[in-house]
Amino acid sequence: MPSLLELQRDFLAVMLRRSDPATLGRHLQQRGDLARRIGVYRTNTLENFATALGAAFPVLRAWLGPEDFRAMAWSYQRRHPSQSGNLFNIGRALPPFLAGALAGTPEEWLADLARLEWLVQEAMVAADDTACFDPRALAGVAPMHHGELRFRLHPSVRLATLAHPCFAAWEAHQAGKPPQAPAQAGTEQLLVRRAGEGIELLRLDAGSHACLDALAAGEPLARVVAALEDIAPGSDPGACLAGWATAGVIIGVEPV
Amino acid sequence: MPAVDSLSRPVPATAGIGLRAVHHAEFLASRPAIPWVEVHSENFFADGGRQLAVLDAVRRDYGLSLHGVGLSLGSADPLDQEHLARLQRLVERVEPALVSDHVAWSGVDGVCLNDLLPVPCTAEALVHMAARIGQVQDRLRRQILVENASSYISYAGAEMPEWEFVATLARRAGCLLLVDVNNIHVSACNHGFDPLQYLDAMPPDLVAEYHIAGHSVVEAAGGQLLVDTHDAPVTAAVWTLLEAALARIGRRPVLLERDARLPPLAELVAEARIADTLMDARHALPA
Repeated sequence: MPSLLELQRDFLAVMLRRSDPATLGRHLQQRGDLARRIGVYRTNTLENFATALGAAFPVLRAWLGPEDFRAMAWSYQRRHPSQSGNLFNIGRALPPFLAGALAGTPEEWLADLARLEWLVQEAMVAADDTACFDPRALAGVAPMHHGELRFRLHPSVRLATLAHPCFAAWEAHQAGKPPQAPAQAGTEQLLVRRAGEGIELLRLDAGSHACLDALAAGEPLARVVAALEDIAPGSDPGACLAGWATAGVIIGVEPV
Repeated sequence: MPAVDSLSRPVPATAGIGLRAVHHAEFLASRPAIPWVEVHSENFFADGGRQLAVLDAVRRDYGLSLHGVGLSLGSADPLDQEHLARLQRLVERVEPALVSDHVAWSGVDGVCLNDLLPVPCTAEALVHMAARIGQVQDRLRRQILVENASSYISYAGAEMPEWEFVATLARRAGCLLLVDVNNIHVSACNHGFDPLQYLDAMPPDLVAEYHIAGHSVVEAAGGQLLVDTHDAPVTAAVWTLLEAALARIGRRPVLLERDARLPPLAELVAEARIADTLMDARHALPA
């Protein structure tokens, strides 16, 4: 009998198709129907992975169809096998995997779709925070220190700059319609957040994205204003911040 | 019946159901008259969000069991401390009456297959698993239950039958047992052992829960192979084996597991209550 470690390494290699089933078979009592019995575990390993990945990327799955999605999932699994007993984490590397695999093809937009869906997943499981921004928190801050203020965003807020616009495909899927490939090329900037019991996606103009991006990076107000001015000269930063506070995207301010 | 830490609503010795996401909304809306539910721990490892809010609402009114599939207690790797930390955080949040995982391994060398793979029934594996269960119990500051997994292969170098391994493991680790009656049936058919011999080896004082579930039958040239798919109603053979367990071990919480091709919630609850009928016929619930 091999050691526990040796046995498990042989088992793993067979499951990941790095070794022939005979590698495991030499440790087993079964002889006649070895392939079928090992096949149950191989099927479980593949299907559990593909099912969990499909739950995290439902729009991508709908676009590819179940068979192509499953084939893609297994190909991805060989390069990026799960590293945790928690299957939630397996989707993290899918966007860069697809970006590499689909670069230069008509389907390269799917890497952006995967990026968007992963941000949706992150937003869904982000921490709760019921705080609301209270303007009175600014009352005690001397105007000379306003530029040092750092605002806090809701933990579920995620920002995306996509090279291919995917909002429409995501929105169509939410409505039960088949997702469509982007009609035209062009950058799309989005805000993803949890709202109520679901997920909300908003298209952002360049100024709002610059403002929120700086806030999300923890920049002080002076730099947020400068970022907004760079991208959208003449914009009203006060109105921009007030709008996001009212919407519950900005939920607080750190003490100066 | 062994004592189980219970900081929230208890899990009584009645039928419960595995609560899955597809039934969350209906469960909260209809509040079925079933005293307890079991959920997969890993589905609630989130920092926040809707899923956790559902669990918070459920545990206020129902006994709760956290059933894990990812601790990989039989792996030769070190315990995944991040996984354990998330489990600990969840346990502290929802204070479940029961916490369980499997006599199985899922990966090695940092790669996880996310399946419940059979542990070789050897002295080495016994010592190794008992120590790891001890680590988990120390971290969670409570006893856990470990469940016998179903299997499709058997190791040539096994040093003892699985039932002896499982019973000895529980005694050595100081943990409790979750006896999965369907898994015993599946493995008994696949390996040709007597399921009653398995039940006879389970120490009644350590058995704290039963699982029942449906399975699939795969026909092939090599004969029948039963696969633990949790995608069908409980079979007559498994109900019969549950009755045998009740006779030998006694009345315990019975959990109906269904993970695929889920029926309507009311149908699932009705199927689970068959277990109540069996238990009531044999053992009255203590007043």
